[in-house]
Order: sequence, then C-alpha cells, then structure tokens
Amino acid sequence: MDCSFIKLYLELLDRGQLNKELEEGIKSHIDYCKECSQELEEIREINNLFNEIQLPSLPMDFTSRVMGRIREDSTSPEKNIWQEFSKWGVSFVAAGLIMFLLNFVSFDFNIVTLTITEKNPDIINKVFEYAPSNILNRGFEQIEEIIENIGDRR
Amino acid sequence: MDLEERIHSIQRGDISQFEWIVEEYKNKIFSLAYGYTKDSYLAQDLTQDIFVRLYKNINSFQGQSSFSTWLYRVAKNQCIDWTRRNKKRMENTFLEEGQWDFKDLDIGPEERAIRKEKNQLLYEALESLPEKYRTPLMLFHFQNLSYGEIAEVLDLPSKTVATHLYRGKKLLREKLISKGRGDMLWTALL
Ligand SMILES: [Zn+2]
Repeated sequence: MDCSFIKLYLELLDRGQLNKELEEGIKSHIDYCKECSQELEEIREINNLFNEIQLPSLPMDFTSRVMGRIREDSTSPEKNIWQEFSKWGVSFVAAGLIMFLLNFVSFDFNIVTLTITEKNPDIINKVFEYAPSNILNRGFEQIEEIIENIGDRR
Repeated sequence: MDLEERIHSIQRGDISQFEWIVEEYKNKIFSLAYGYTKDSYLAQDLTQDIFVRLYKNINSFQGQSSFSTWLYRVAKNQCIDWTRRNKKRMENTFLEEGQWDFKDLDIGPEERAIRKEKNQLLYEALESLPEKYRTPLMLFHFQNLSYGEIAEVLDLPSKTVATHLYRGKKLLREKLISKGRGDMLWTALL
C-alpha cells in the first residue's frame, strides 16, 4: 500500500471504522513509515480538539416552539411536483429538459449551464434536493447523449 | 412505530409525529447550524427554519435515500444559503458569551476560559476553510456521519469525501497553527 492511499484512511483508523484486514495493513505500514505515523499523530491532535468542542444548548422549549410555529403558520406540506412528473414517465421529463436546453444550444451549452449554476445555485440545489435522483440521472444521461450528438454534427 | 411509519403518517397529515422528528434531530441540526452561524441565537433561528422547511417538503422524501441523508442535505443547503445571505454580518461576528454546555460542571474559571478559547479558535479556523472542506468536516465530526453517508448528502463519490476530509483537516491544522502562534494557549491546545 502506498502512502497517498494510506493517508485517506487514517481518519477511519482513528475512529475504528476500518475492516480488520485494512486496519491491519495500515497499522503495519505505519509501524515502519515515519511520514504516515506523523500524519496520524497530527490528525489525532485535531480530533482531540473536535472531541472537546462545546456547544451552547438549545432551550428546553425548543421543540414546542418549532411545533407552535408550524401550527401557527398552518403550513401544510407541499405537494411533490416531481412525483407528479414521474407518473408521466422519465422520457417525458427528459424530453422537456432537452427541449429547454435545445433552445439555448446556439449560445453554446456550456455557457448556458455555467450561467444558470453561477447566477442561481439555489435553483440547481432545489432540483437536486427534491427530484428523485434516478429520474434526474436518467434524464441527464439522455441529455448528455444528445449533446454529444450535436457536438459530433458540428 | 418505526421511522418509516412516522414519516408516512406525517405525509398523510399527522403533524404530531413531526414532533418526534424534531426531538430526535434537533441537537444534530443545531450543531451544524452553529458551525455556520457561530452564534447560539442565530443558530436557534436557523434550526427552526430548517425544521419548518423539512416539514413543508416532507412529501419530497420518497425513500430514495435514507431519511437522515435527506434531512442533512436539506439542512446543509439551508446553512449554505444562510451563509450567502449573511456574508457581511459574518465578517463582524465574534462568539458570544452565551451559555456553554460544558460536560464537566465542576470546572474552574481558568479551565472554563481555556475551553472557551479553544472553541473560538476551532470555529474560526473552520469558518475560514473553503466550503468544500468545511461541510464534510462538520458532517464527519458534529453529525458523526460515515464517509458513505457524507458522500450521499453531498452527492460526491466516497473517495472524494475522503480526499476532502484529509485536505480539509490539513488546512485546518495550518489555520489553527497560524492563529495560535505567539499565543501562550497554543501549547495547551495541541
Ligand atoms: Zn506511509
């Protein structure tokens, strides 16, 4: 095992979250590798600091305050529009996204995506937060294919 | 009643089950929010906003990931939004006195002062890290999530999470050393 691999797992070694085989391998590496054992020491120092960290406490009535606010707002859970979409099928959603993107293709796809993500990361975040990832991923795969095809034609 | 049943009954309109969710996750969410706001009152407000948001969007949880992954993803996004909206304010924020929940109640004033200083150094060092390092570090240490769970929350491969945690911690150490330098406390710190 080489050092760059070992270093990524020192954190888990310190937490005791490695499987036995990997743990033994890493431990025997550390026995002779000065660099990695030094790394482990440094990680442990910082972790001790994290273990000692203190948080102010929440007030006793926090939960009832949250529930009060929810009831007061008479907020009700929003309908999940993605669920509705998924009823119409993956290809429909993908087709919709493709149509949307195709409108911008003449501007160059990359610029459009960059502008959307940079100007309003919230939108992207929201899409990822609420859309079932399998639908999104399949949609994106299809979009990528189409974009590749367009690129080839150019 | 197990978690899945509770979520289903919230989705069917039984608001009282949400109370259980708040109780169960409030401290974890609060510790994340505190990591971003560094102020217990602001963190309380943010935690409240996160729960309201979670309740409103409960129908978008369809079991495509574990509930806690979904919950932390919503919480993390709200925290990052908050930071973006409050950039100016953050530049002038110092840790407030507040009530510290020290585990050992019989510590003296000197020990108390040292701990407070340690807290402050660590939170400030964390705050100065780039977002891509700060969030996984907080999820790992404050929420006790595994690499795999963090990967799911952040939508990154586990290997990338491992790399970010490693680099983030190295950078955090450098920041702590440069902040602590010339400070008598530094020897007590590490
Ligand atoms: Zn090594």
